[in-house]
Amino acid sequence: MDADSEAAWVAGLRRGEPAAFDAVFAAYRARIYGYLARMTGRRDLADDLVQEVFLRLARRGGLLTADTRLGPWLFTVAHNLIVSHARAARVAQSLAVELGAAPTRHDPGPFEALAGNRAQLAVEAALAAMPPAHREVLLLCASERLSPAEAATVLGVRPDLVRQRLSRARAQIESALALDAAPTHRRSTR
Amino acid sequence: MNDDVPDDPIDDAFAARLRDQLVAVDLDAVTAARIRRLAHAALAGGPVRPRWRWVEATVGATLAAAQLVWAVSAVLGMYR
Repeated sequence: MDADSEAAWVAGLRRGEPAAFDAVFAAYRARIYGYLARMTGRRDLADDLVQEVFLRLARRGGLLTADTRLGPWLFTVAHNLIVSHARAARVAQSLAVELGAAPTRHDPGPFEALAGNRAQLAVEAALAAMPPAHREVLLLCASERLSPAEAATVLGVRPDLVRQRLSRARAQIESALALDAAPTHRRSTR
Repeated sequence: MNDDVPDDPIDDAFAARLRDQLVAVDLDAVTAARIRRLAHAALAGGPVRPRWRWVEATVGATLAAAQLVWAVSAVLGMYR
């Protein structure tokens, strides 16, 4: 995303231009959707949340400052929606437990079934299994190429905490990929 | 805090490798069209009924609280 395009889009959003919204939507919708689905573990919920992210952009576009960076702005809104949803889900879960409903189970990642090869499956499974705080910084910094400082702003934490989580998340992913690449002697001898 | 953690633990090569191995995803066309339609309406009409939002939120919260009270009292009533 070059800075000139982004500045033009922000200017268009400040004027309420649908074409500017369409350009931002085309550039960011898959990225925001992937982030939301991997963080919530549910594609149907991600559909709803991505709608809310872009409706907020449409409603608040006129309030953006000229130097707004759209990536961090959109991911901040998405992160805040995830946090709000998680709070509501915790209340619902504690009520369900209180009322005798079955405990929740650990679901696979939202995109494991779509993996086209073993490496993709290993990465998606490792992402789904890692702590959400580690998963989130990895998605923001590695997949979306936000700097640790930008990710810290999105998440509302200190940059050194982001770097620490990133380091651990990277080790977890590399470990998962190494395990996947390791020869499976037992399987091959049968 | 952690001297052994580098300034940017994610180098370009690792980031590119990870991106290559993530499943490529996108919204389905129906959802994307719905979001565009709603967003264009919001852009055309400005803020959507801002004066009534707090009323909707209050009514929603009241109904949710009433449902909660009803559910808990129903369960308690089963054991009486």
